[in-house]
Amino acid sequence: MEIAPEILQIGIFLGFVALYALGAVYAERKVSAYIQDRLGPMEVGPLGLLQTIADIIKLLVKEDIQPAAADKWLFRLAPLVIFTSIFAGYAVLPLGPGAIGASLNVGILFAVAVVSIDVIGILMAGWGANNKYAFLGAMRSVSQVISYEIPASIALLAGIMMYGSLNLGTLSAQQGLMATDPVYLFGIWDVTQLGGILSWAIFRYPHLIAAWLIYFIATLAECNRAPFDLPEAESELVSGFHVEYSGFRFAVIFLAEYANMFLVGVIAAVVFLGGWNSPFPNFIALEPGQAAGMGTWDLLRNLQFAHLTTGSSPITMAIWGAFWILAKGFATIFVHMWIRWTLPRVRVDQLLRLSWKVLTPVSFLLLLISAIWKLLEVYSHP
Amino acid sequence: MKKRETYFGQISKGLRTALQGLRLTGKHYRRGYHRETPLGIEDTGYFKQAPGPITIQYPAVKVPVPDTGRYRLHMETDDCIGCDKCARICPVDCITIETFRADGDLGRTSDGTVKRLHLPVFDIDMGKCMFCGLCTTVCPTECLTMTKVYDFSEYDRDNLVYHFGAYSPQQEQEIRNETEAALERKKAEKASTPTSEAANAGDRPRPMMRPKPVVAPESDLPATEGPSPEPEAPVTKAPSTMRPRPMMKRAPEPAEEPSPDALPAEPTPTDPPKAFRPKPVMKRAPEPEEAASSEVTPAEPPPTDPPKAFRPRPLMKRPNTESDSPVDPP
Repeated sequence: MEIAPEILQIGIFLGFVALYALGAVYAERKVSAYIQDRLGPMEVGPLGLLQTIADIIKLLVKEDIQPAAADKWLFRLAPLVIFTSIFAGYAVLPLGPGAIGASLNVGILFAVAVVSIDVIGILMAGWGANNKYAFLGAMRSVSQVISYEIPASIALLAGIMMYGSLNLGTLSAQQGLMATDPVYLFGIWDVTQLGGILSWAIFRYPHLIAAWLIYFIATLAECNRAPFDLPEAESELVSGFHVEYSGFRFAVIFLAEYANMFLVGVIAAVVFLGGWNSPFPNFIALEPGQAAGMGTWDLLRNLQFAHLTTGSSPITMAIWGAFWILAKGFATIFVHMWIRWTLPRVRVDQLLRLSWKVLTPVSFLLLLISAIWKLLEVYSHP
Repeated sequence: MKKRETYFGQISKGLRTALQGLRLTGKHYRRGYHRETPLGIEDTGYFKQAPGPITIQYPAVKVPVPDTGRYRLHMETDDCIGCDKCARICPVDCITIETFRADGDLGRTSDGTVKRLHLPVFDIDMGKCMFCGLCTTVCPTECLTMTKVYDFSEYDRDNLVYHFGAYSPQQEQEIRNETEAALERKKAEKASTPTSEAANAGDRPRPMMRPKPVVAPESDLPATEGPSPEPEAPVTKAPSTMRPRPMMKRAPEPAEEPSPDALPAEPTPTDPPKAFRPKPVMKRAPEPEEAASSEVTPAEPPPTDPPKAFRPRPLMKRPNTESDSPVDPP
């Protein structure tokens, strides 16, 4: 029987997300433990590695409880909507050169838009549970996510404006050795043959560091992560919008949350941090195409680190690409966790103030800078 | 008055403080590889461990407890004289003691005190115990001690009651019967043969309350062990020449004591065992009740002094009353 490649792709991504979520829960517990001078899970398996497996087994065999007063349809559908909307965003993620589920020309717009549906799922969950804590959590979540969509999207726009494409695959390719357009560092120095970190967006266009920061902060809020975890605020709302969920439905909501973290991490990596390109630059600029025929030793002798860590054949390129983009995504998730166990939760007014009075105006300013920069670049390097 | 922060001042302060916090937590995170090795408090490196996770995975790894740890009680049954002091001083009444009179001596404790009471029941309910340690300080023979065992949780609360009694119930009954029979016999014997002076003065030297020497309690024990197995021990010896035990060093006692040499000699731990020539059985003409109630704790220091030897002093009452009137001049 022939399996459609789309099904295969979905299967791979679904399996990846599930496995990653298991690892991420474990990592979260270990990170929090080390930050608090504890050891974290240590009992189940070596170093507690099997702890999340045990947890997920327990979660899956639990009774699926549904409150008697709940709105049955909304309550049942909500986890599905939340997870589906997040998972749909994975369709446009590039996990290496050419390894992209759907090479959409509106990729990033699609990702931002489809992930926003997540809010509807959260509202359904909060409303459907017919629980005041869940409802409060859902209301907070909606106000928060909608406020932070704006700076996040504008910051992304400031980044993608420099490349002139919404396709995440193209965006990645433009920030490394595979760039089709010449790469100018600070708009002056041609680093097309150097690659590496020098061709990453935040180095070529330093104002994008601020854009990246804004996007990072905004996505923290969109993922309902601390210090913006008001929708879940354990101390006030028990656990917010998913307080009534148990068993598999709870697992799905949890999975969606972690999947969202990885999604925003990868989008940030693609737009600002060079996508699936290696951070190591070549130290000697060779002629275009000269490095293509070199063996490993010659590359090493000529300090062609970017070529070494990018690969030459399609297979090695895919492996290196996947490695770099996953590393960047996981690094972002680590910072998410690090921040979660460092900063206290902000108040609602502080949350909205930060979004509307700081992030949004600054992101518009960055958009303006991007536009001017692009204009100057077009005129100076016609 | 605090200066009002500007818009950009707030932003930079927010970033600065957030970074400061991240630096701090990052420092803790980097120490995550550290594993605390459990050191006892007496270890010189106790305060010098590298900082890092301080979790100790308890049942698998335990922090060493000093040998002087004061946790679970332990009772050395062989050393107990059944004086009941511990039971009475216990603030939570977690010690239950039952004794009955023995026919003669039951031997000696390791510090030389003669045992005169059978000890069928000595229960300590560790579920009630609050670890104040009062019982161990009042124990005259130091048979009650606190050990360094601190983890003795049980699934059943009844298992927290520790039985230190000397006998099983059957044994107890047997011994009780035997003892009663023997006492009866002796009483009859005594009634038939009127005794002379010995009986008069012979207020029975009774269970040896022996307050611990205040000065050097630690060194006391080993020292007493040496002399105790000395030849005089035999209980059967000298029913007529009773040599009272120089057991008590109470304040009032010296006053009664005519011989001044008694006082200084007392506290030295090595002396008492020698002095000890317990009188095995009393043939007191009066009722057994009275005999039982009057106890003698003569303070006789020089052991090798036969004429003086016999100076019984009925100072101590029977266990149930003794604490009320410790000094009761005859």
